[in-house]
Amino acid sequence: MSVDPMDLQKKLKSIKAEYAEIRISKGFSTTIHLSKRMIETCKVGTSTQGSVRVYNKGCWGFFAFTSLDMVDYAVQQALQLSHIQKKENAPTLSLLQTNVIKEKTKTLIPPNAVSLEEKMHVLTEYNDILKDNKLVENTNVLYRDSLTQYVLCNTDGSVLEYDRSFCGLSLSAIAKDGTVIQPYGESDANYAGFEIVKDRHTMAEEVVRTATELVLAPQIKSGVYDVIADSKLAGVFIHEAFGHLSEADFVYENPRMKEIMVIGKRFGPDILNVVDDGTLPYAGYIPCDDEGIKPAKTYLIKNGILHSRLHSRETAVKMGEEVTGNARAITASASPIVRMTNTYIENGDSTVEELFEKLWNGIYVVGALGGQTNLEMFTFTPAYAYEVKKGKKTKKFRECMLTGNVFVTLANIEAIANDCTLFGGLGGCGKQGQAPLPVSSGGPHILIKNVLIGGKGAGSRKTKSK
Amino acid sequence: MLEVEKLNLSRVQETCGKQKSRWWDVFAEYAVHKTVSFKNNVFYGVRESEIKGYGIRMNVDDKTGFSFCNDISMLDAVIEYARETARYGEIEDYDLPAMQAAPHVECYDAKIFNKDTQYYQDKLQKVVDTIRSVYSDCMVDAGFGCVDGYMHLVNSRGFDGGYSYSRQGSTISALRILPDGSRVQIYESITWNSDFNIDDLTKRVIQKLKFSERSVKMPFGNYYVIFTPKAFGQIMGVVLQGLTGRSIERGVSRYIGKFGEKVFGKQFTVYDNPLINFAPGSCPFDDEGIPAQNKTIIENGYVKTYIAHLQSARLLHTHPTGNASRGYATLPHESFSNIVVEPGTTSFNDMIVQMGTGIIIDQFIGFGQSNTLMGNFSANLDLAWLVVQGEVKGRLLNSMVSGDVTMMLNDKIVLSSEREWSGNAYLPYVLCRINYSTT
Repeated sequence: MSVDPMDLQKKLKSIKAEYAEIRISKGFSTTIHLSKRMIETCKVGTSTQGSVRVYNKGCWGFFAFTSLDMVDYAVQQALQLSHIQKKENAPTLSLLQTNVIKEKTKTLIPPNAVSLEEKMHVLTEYNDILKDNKLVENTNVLYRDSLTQYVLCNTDGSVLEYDRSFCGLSLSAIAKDGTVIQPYGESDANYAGFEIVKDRHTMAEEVVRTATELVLAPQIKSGVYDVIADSKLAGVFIHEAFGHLSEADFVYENPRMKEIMVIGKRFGPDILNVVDDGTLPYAGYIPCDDEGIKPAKTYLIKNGILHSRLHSRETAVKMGEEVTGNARAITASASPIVRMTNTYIENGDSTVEELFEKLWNGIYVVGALGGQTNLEMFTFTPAYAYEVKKGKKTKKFRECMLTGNVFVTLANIEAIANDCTLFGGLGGCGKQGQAPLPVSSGGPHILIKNVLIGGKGAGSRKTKSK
Repeated sequence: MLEVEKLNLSRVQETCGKQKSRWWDVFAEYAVHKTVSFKNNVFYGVRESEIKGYGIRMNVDDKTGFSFCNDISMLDAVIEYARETARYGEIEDYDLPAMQAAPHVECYDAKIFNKDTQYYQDKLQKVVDTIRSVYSDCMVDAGFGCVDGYMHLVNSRGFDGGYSYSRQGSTISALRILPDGSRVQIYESITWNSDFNIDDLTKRVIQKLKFSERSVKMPFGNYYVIFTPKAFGQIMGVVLQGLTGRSIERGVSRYIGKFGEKVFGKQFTVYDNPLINFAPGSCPFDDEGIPAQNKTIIENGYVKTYIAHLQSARLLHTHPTGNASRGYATLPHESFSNIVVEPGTTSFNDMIVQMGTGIIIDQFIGFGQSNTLMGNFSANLDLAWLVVQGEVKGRLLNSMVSGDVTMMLNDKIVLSSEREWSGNAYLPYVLCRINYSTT
């Protein structure tokens, strides 16, 4: 059964609602997971998901389903739920933008044009590279593609018909030396075709080389260090440390948070510019958000000053600010919430070499395994680290974790290089149970002072910059 | 109770039965969810969903393929996909279980579905009012809802069984910005297959807000620490990593060669028990049809056994333990049911006195990002309090702890006599020592 947007629009017109939307997706996906000893998963499947969301006088009614013959029932049910409670003076959320968009992901090699046999062949080559080292105890080659027909219609008259293709690869090796077990992996994913997965033999070689080096490397001692973060970790840092804090649903009805996050407040040095931009062709790309609003290049921090924040239609209206196109849902059966897209630190005025000269003694943290925030404190985990002595990389360390207070750490950014790069992957961002949402993050190398690093033992101040 | 005939299982069984294969099984799920939510102290909305799905495993020439769909009209295509992927699947030359007697455990309580939306609204309004009667500046988000679910498994060896489950859950988040600008956010949640008292959650939130009224500091060092059951649940995740057949078969379990040996403190005994009435991880049989059973995983510090599903049991020449878990769109994997840790004899209050000076830890940030395969962890303290001479002094900020679970849970640990459910784990408070770092 195909989805006809005209039919959905008729259903929306038939109900009395201040604002309503219907979202439906029909998808076909392939997942292949190889490990050192076996084929863990080889599956293809189809999914149908959808939801209806209705807003009336401050109350949201929502109904999700997995069968297209439930659309009419879902419309009536969501409408009924939206009338459960009326709020006085609730703002209207309608008629913000009308966008009619028909889009298809540009692919060089559509995933459905590649046979399972060919996919298996390519992935097995990568797995063979990962396995070819006696220190490697296990490997993981994970491939996923999905082809989705997504339709969104809302009462603003917006219609999105989006045929999207998402494709990605994750390679990891788990090295073992005696009792030390050390994983390392890399991943790449985007709205693209199989071309993103082909010819990644160098990535596999890099993964096995790094995992087998790290398993023999010592663990860093806990303490407070001055650090340089590479582009990938700078991206995770800004995503965790400031991106989530910029999501207006954490602020819009909280008077104390509004005082803390007041536009115009200084959060970092003049050289710091932070942007979220869903129009860029990375993993966080969207033609419009899941409420029908077009994305934009949104400066979160400009010249160190809080410039704007990320909004859904509800948070924008309630705060009296412009919509930014950041209401996103992990699937068509999940509710849109305020999320990032492609978030990055803009280039600064230093070279990477100048950053090392400025650091002199400290730690260089490379790659990213993940990050988390509670909007005040954050953690991010580099893949590995180097000790820096007299401006030069020296000893390599395996796992560690960086943590700090968001506001203090942003203020402690000392220098920003000019090599901004963005990264996506098969993982993604998690919030309120919706994960992994495709996003990208990145930036140039950055120098931060006084970062607490957790590793071996207990610790305090360890290094002092030049 | 749901109308199970909506799953059209007879059609599924008939269609799969015609396939030429070594074996097949179909896992079908049907669930109706309802959640009422409050945001920033006021009613926000109601969310309902009705989800169906079918996952089909087919073993052809000893290799297993898999496919899934939501829509029964796709059944024929999905069977073809399962057959096609079997060409590239792993060799799985075991047999599926036939129908066999399964133990009885209560998983469904129809009473929880007798409540209307207003009941949930009233309960949540009371949560908000009670917390704000103590802390009027507090911003409370809360959700309360239920699931009416049914799972069914059929296979080529004649297994044809299913069970209904009810689930009720609530989450409360209470946020305060203190005068010094620091942010305190307390999370509490519970999931149970029958009724529970949401007022207990509210009391816990208020108690933790009281502990967090002031921010304090302490220098880095090695200290006594008490993990609350919620925090200890995350530590248990690291303890149990490596106690699955998969991780042993892959060679990445740190317990390889240590079964039967004493690894943890003598007070430490852990069960995996899927037969606790109305507990969230309870079931009469697992998602491959193996009867559920209670198992001792760690006994008095000795590592006794691991969990295994059909595939890992075959590879390790052992028996499946009834711990296969799957959704309609995923292949079975090993999963613990209800984790139960034996209590100690010291009350939580006595434990605080016994600790003297130390830290109580309740919430971490970034806990899972460490190399937990080795039992190591490093994490920021999202919610932790300094205790001096048995008295809670305030909340610790800008600090983290790190350690190794094996070294930490040694013979010197003290377990409380009280236990609390945290997710699917029934856990005591735990007193031990830890490395603490701060800026």
